[in-house]
Amino acid sequence: MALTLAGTDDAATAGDAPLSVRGLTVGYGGSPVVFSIDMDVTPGAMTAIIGPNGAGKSTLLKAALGIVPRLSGQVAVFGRPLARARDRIAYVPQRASVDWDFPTTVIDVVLMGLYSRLGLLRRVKARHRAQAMECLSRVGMEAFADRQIGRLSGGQQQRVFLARALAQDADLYLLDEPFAGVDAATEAAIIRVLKALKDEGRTVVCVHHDLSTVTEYFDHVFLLNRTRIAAGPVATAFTAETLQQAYGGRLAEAQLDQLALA
Amino acid sequence: MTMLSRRRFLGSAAALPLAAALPARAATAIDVVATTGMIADAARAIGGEAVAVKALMGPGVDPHSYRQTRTDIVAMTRADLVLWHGLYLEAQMEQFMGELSARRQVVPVAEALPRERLLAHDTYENKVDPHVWMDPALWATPISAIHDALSRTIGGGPALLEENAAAYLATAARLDTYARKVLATVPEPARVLVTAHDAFSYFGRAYGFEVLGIQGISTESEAGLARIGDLVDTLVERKIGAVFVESSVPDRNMRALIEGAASRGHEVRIGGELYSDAMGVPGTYEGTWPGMIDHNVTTIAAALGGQVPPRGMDGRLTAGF
Repeated sequence: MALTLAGTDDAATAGDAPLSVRGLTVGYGGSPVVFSIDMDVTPGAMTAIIGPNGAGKSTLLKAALGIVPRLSGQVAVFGRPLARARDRIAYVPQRASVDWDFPTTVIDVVLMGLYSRLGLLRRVKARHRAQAMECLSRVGMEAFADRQIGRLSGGQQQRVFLARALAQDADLYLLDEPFAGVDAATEAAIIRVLKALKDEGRTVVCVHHDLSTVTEYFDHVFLLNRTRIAAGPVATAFTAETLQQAYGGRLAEAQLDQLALA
Repeated sequence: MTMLSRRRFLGSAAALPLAAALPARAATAIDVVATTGMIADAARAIGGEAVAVKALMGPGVDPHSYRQTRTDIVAMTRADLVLWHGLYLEAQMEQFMGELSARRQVVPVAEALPRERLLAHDTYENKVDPHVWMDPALWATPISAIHDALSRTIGGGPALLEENAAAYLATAARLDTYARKVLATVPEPARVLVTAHDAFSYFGRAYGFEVLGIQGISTESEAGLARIGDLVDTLVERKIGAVFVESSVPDRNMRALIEGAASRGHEVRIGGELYSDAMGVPGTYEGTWPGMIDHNVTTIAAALGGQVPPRGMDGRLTAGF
């Protein structure tokens, strides 16, 4: 299912964008959390959604996926209505938001990613297990296949969820703060996998929490603080000016210096 | 799971190709029809914006005797997913659901529970007691089945609805903890729950209460005068001070019981109205499954001499205690 389209061209038509959002407004109890967002995700790129805490980054993602209510706006996935293209998306939520307190093994978690291919009776065959094991080895967790997921460290769990998303063989990967609270080895493993996805022509979008790794990991950014501040390649959209605008002037000179901006 | 119910559970799910293979709808949300309000509540909480849920049975409706209307049939035949309870709760809809399974995605969510966790039906030998939503720890399994059915129908991978499902299951766990804590403050001899029909056996099993229903489990069979007389004896002998009415069941038998006890010099109050087969008013906290359970637990504990927080688990109950 790998895309052959390379496409880092900013002029990609909205109709082809892996994810396209127009006028998206999300609010709780009447007050907007994100307001009138327009976004076109560049195909085949690694895009970071960044902004201060409370900027609405996770909300934007969840509203685009249609799991939290929106007050207004349209969403298209590969040019089609969301409902028709869901199987081309893999979503990895923030790890801490799911309570993994139930008995499931690592391999079973990864097999969930294959459910759409197992049929409704979900008979797991040897080749499904082999596919799941292959996804586990891509994240370096094959030795943990039969462990209970609840017993793993945070970083290990995060890798297993990524393996599950890989098993879905999606064209668009949406991850919510995949690097938050993980150890350095896990972070390295995750970014390696994400870059491999990009090399295969798939599209990756991450809500990202760490400004200091943006230029190293991503080629596009979407900067927001309730509304869109800037969007585009890192060189033009991730600058001292756009960051000051997004962070309301709260970033110190020293912090900006460290970010190796254009 | 018994052979019959397991086959039914898997059979109805396997009867169709995945919803994604059916002609696609243009709207963002999928159409889900649920029979009981408790199932609808879980489907809405888990599906969020990705689902449009229609519940067939509103507050005050008795699922044991409910028959589908023509509007219901239209909604179900057009739905992307039909969620029902099963375990013969919707006794009058059994045949229809069986036929519908051949043409639509139909999932009996309570039949995901393994047989060994179920209680036998009071009256009918081959049937089980279907009131499993009264025990939050038990209802967790149908909640997971609802999550599973929604995930498979909506698409987009297992993680899409996972946060919502985890949050709802976490609420179920908190309800269970709250119930244990609060009901433990009811003095031992007072742990008898007298209700209009036998909907509380799972509740009783979970929290150590003896349950006495005036009627058999189904509200279809009427209690005779003799049975009411026996129950008055029980109330008097065991000094039971409070009995409970239910929102979806007529209370005339309960009133007869109270009058019978009064005529024997024993004062019995109505401890409160419980939600048994249906939840409260839609739009209120009691109109959700967590609210229903919170209300029941708090009402029962307060009426039988336990200590309760004034407005229940999270301070959200409409009535104060």
